[in-house]
Amino acid sequence: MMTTIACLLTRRRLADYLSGQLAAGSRQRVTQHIASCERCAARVDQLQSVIGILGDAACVAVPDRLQPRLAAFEQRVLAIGRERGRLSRGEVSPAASMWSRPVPAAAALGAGLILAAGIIGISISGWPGNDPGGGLPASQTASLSQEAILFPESILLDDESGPADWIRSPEEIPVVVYEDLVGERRARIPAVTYVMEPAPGNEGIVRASF
Amino acid sequence: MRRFQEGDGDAFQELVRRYRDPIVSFCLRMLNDPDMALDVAQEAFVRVYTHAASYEPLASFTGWLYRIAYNLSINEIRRRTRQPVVSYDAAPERDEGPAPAREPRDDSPSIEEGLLGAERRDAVRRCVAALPPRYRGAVVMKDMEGMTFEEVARILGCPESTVKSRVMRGREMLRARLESYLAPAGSRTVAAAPAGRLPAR
Repeated sequence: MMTTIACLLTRRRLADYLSGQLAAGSRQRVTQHIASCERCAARVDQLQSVIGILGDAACVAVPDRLQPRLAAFEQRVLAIGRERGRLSRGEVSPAASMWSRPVPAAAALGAGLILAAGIIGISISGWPGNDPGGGLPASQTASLSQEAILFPESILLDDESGPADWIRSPEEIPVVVYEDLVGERRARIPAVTYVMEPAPGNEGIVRASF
Repeated sequence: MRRFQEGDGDAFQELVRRYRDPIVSFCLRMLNDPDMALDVAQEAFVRVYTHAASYEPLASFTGWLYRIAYNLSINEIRRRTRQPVVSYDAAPERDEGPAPAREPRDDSPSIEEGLLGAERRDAVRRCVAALPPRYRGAVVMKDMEGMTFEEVARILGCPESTVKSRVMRGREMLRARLESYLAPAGSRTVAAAPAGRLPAR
């Protein structure tokens, strides 16, 4: 069976034909061609069938296990939205305030890391007024806690001008711990794009390049 | 949305309540992954909250919200495709294969029919999720969300002719993939238009 010019013209009009948006004259020509061309008729039948089953498959239910998340959806959106709004206004979170107090020299690195990780999502683009003073800071890994509970599933780390990279279900995240000019231990979340690199068995681990 | 822009906090909660289900459903259709869909839908509303000032009241709020959800979904799809995935053109896995030949049947619904319907819907969703992102978005919005070409074009920010082309390419890909589920030639029917799923704009 040969493809004719009429077949090609019909194909070009099929999108409008199938959605009933073709002008009367064009519609009549397409209908006439379909009536005389078995191949185009079969194509139209099948495409109509595709549209039908797409409509049939359109109703997708959220699984029962996710109903609690759906129920808490509104509250979580509000919590994250308010937190980000606070960040964009440059307000310091309670966790950040706590961290900005002098830390006793005996404070264990682990405790510092936990606090540092607690402020993640707040110190997205650097630590205001406390840049590491020269030299490359050490990369560490810490567990999330404290305010990170606001973001149990995901955290958007970059700002709105950059790509939106997500961290899903984070349990550990690298942070940079350093001493500032007056000897306080501080944590800094580098302003870099984080990329999730799940490895077998530790999908929750997130790494970042510094 | 205008009330929220003017400082009415309750208005945002109303927006979330009104649009949560349509946006979650849209993300589910785009991503075919409920966990991911909830994450993306949630982020879409957070973006509305944090970017309310940039919303132009003359634009359709629904279109704006869908555009955010679409862009976030595409980001997520691209991120996932960095990991090894089964190509759309690859041979289907055994459990994704064509449905067995259907037996002649009477008009009364049966358990088998219900199972076949569920299997078909599942196969359709998997095939849609395997479409290249540009075709997937257009097909989901046109044929599953029931939007017009004009609405899809506004959301995607491209000409209607581009949308039509993408929708048709997507449908053709699905036609090839879902051949065994399609009605035999000659049983032409009017396509079911899934209109009316969206909240009023």
